[in-house]
Amino acid sequence: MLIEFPRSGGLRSPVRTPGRIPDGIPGGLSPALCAPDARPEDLVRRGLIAPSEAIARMRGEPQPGPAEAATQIRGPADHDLNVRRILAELDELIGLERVKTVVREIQAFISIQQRRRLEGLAAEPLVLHMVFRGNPGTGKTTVARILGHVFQAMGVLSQGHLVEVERADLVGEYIGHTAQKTREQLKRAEGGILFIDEAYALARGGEKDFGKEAIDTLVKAMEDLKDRLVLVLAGYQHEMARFLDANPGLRSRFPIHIEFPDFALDELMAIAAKMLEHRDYQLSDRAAAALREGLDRKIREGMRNAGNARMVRNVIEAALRRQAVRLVDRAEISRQELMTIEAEDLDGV
Amino acid sequence: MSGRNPECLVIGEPGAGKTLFTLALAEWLGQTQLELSQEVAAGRVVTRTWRTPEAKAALVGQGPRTTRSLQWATLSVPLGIGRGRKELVVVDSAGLPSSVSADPEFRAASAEVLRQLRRAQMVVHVVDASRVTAPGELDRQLAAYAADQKPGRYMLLANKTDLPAGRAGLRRLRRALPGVEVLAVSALQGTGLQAVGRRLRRFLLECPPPRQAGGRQGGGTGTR
Ligand SMILES: Nc1nc2c(ncn2[C@@H]2O[C@H](COP(=O)(O)OP(=O)(O)O)[C@@H](O)[C@H]2O)c(=O)[nH]1
Ligand SMILES: Nc1ncnc2c1ncn2[C@@H]1O[C@H](COP(=O)(O)OP(=O)(O)O)[C@@H](O)[C@H]1O
Ligand SMILES: [Mg+2]
Ligand SMILES: [Mg+2]
Repeated sequence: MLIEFPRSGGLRSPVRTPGRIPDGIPGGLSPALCAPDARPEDLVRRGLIAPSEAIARMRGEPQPGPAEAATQIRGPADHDLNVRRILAELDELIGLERVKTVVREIQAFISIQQRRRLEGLAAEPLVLHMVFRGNPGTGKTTVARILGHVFQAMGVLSQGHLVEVERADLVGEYIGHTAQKTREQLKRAEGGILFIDEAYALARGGEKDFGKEAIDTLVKAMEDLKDRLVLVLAGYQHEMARFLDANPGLRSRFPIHIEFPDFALDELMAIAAKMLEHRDYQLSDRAAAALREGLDRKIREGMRNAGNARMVRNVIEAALRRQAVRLVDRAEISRQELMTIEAEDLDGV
Repeated sequence: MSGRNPECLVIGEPGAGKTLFTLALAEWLGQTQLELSQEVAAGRVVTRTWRTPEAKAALVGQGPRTTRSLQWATLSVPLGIGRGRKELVVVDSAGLPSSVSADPEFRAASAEVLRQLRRAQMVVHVVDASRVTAPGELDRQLAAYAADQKPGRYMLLANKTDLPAGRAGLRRLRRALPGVEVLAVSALQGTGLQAVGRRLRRFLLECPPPRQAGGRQGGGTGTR
């Protein structure tokens, strides 16, 4: 989603020193060269052997069977590229520093528990049900989707997909209907994450409401599908707090709580820039100033959803349409003009 | 990157045509653009959407090595009539030099490629057949490694067979590596990709479903 990308040119070409250990590496036999457990790629990294020699050594390695594959979870340096890639996707998100830290803690915790299990040490059971609190558009769904991928790559969930539901998807109209609907959604989510948006809506109607039946079915499923499902309850900060206070039994089943704060003005600007970059657009200087001013005004006016990425996306998409209208009847349009959002395209932000 | 799709590593010496092959494959599969991700530093991935002609102009090297780190794209491969499609992550790697490099950054890139080689579910080995020295020691070791460690999940491509020297090299490769199936391709002209596509399809059809546990991804597209 970012733009920096090395192009050809400007790259140093490799200096080749055939058959000789290059300068800067101390001569003589390094201990690593003798160490039987030094990995071939590490020897290459240290300049001790050529890649062809490393491949020759790798030829005799035992094939990773199922047990072997688990042994590969060793430490950060050894982590699956997959997990690193997915976490890098998380890093690409603007702001959310606290959220990123918590996700890394979760990932590290799982990794260590897996290693402990391999060593025959007591391992904590992994209870990964979570509560996400924050306004709409603060990245809750986005982060949940990434977490699903992390869990899949780490072998915690078989699929790691995200099923996003709300009250209407779970609650039915007659007795028995709710349990059936809820079970259907649970089935869809098995192997992945069931993400319940505005979860407190399940408690909306009070004791007699079918929402209660949905909660009971979910609680039961958390037992039955313990290792095959992660449940995420999402919603506004206060409503969620109240909901959990009223259902202490539920609270105790969700050990992980993550708060999604509203974005600050600079973060909203960065999110806008990124969304534009991704679409091959850019803001003129005046447009950037206008956007900043508009967003700042919205925040100061205290709009409930002012500090969120979805609003930014709406503003940007409206601007793209206005730009199109501005340009469409022109006889000649330059590439630069096609790419540029002007201040007038942001009128009314 | 979802981490759920099977991966195919494109490997070979610098300048073999790995990057051009990757892009030619995307085109052959009908993609006019592709999203290419690159790990620019440990854990920092940059993704950019390219139209394939522009990607060729920018990323295919005149010098010995323009691809410095792994870069990968998710390609959608048709499995045949009525069988739908499956996604395959094609990982284009930095070239492996034939000797020890004095450049630590280059060596680190090679080490990463070797790590990827170990875990790759599918390996495409690209050789510049127009070079009189092909196959070099690296190519021989790679072919031998694949026979042991990646049986049925390996392809050796003799690239640049649009050139006369490449066609001569193809014969030389076949002689030098008996028992290894050598596929003639030209990444430049997009020829020979049919046979590559057929093998990728077979691989994807046989690809095991995702593992329940064990850290390493097993493949399959999973539920979306
Ligand atoms: N004639 C010809 N040249 C090719 C072919 N494939 C690659 N090349 C050229 O070989 C050089 C290296 O290609 P590149 O894809 O960057 O190689 P890489 O280092 O393996 O990624 C470039 O100048 C390409 O244009 C081919 O099939 N035929
Ligand atoms: N930190 C962020 N950086 C960039 N884009 C973001 C960020 N957080 C959210 N977005 C984008 O904003 C939109 C709304 O996010 P979403 O995760 O659906 O919010 P929520 O689930 O909290 O309502 C999505 O398009 C998402 O890609
Ligand atoms: Mg959401
Ligand atoms: Mg390259």
